[in-house]
Amino acid sequence: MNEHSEIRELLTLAAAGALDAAEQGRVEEHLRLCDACRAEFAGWSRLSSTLQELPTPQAPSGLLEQTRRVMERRAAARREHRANHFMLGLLILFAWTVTLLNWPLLRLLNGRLTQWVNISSGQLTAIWAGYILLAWLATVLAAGLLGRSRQQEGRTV
Amino acid sequence: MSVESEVTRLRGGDIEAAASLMERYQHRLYRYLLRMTGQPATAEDLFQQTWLRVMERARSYDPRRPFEGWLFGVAHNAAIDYLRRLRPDSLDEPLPSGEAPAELLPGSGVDALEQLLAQERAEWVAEAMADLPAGFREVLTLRFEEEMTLEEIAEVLVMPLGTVKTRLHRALKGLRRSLEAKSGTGTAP
Repeated sequence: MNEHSEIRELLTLAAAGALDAAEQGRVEEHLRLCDACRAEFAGWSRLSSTLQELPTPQAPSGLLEQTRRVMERRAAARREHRANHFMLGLLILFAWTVTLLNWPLLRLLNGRLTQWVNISSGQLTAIWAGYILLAWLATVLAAGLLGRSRQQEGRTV
Repeated sequence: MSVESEVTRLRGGDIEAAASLMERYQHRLYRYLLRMTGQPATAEDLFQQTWLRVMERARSYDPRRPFEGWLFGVAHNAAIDYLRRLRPDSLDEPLPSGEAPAELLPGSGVDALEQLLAQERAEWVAEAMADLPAGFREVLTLRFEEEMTLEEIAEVLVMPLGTVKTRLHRALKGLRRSLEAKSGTGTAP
């Protein structure tokens, strides 16, 4: 490719102001000597100017407010999500603590309790197991409800 | 209030700061997204998605980099995700012949081009621009409307500088071809 052809390929970028100093200098040097390239460059320059002067489409007036509302809803949902996670963690911790403390406590009070409520030790153990089962079911139910509520929030935000 | 202080507040999750930045960049960002998608409703939707992503990712923003470049990078990703869902090949969509538009561009055509530019309004150029593939429209709007340097464009698009140069060159040639086709001048001499 000769100098003329090479420069011709650079004219688009030269008109767009996208060449480095060395290339730009080379193009300018050639333009001083070549009428054809000068005319071509003028055409590209006019196209570049026209592009720079294109009217700017204005964003619709309600867009800002609408976007802000969506952002606020999303931020509120995220805060609630964090609070829910924190609460869920606390509940799990509480449930485990109660469960773990339950058995030694029951052992400690076993004799007195059976005398007080007048039931056998086996019945008391069954009641205790039922209580634990109920607590676990309540936890599973709570977690399920919490998950469903999060899914619904995700769909509406 | 300066952009820097607003961005600092934004990184702390301040919605007021986000709203202020949104107001500052609303028309430019909307114009960019409109040029990318060609549809006002889609541009509005992507505008919202962009700001939601900005809020979510504000903490990952490096304050040493220009905020503008990062913002347009987020908008670019939102637009690209949309365009890929729409048509996986729409970014640098070739012509039915299989050739890229730039390759079909005739040689010089200076006189015809000058004549055209003299008689056409800017809206007409915008129409011709809308006929180009999204990747070409994007580089044109970033260079000429956003007045970004090639280095800044490369950062927004996450591509090498050489690729940006080539794309800009092809986009300009494609635009000229589109203008010539619209005017009915056909092939230029």
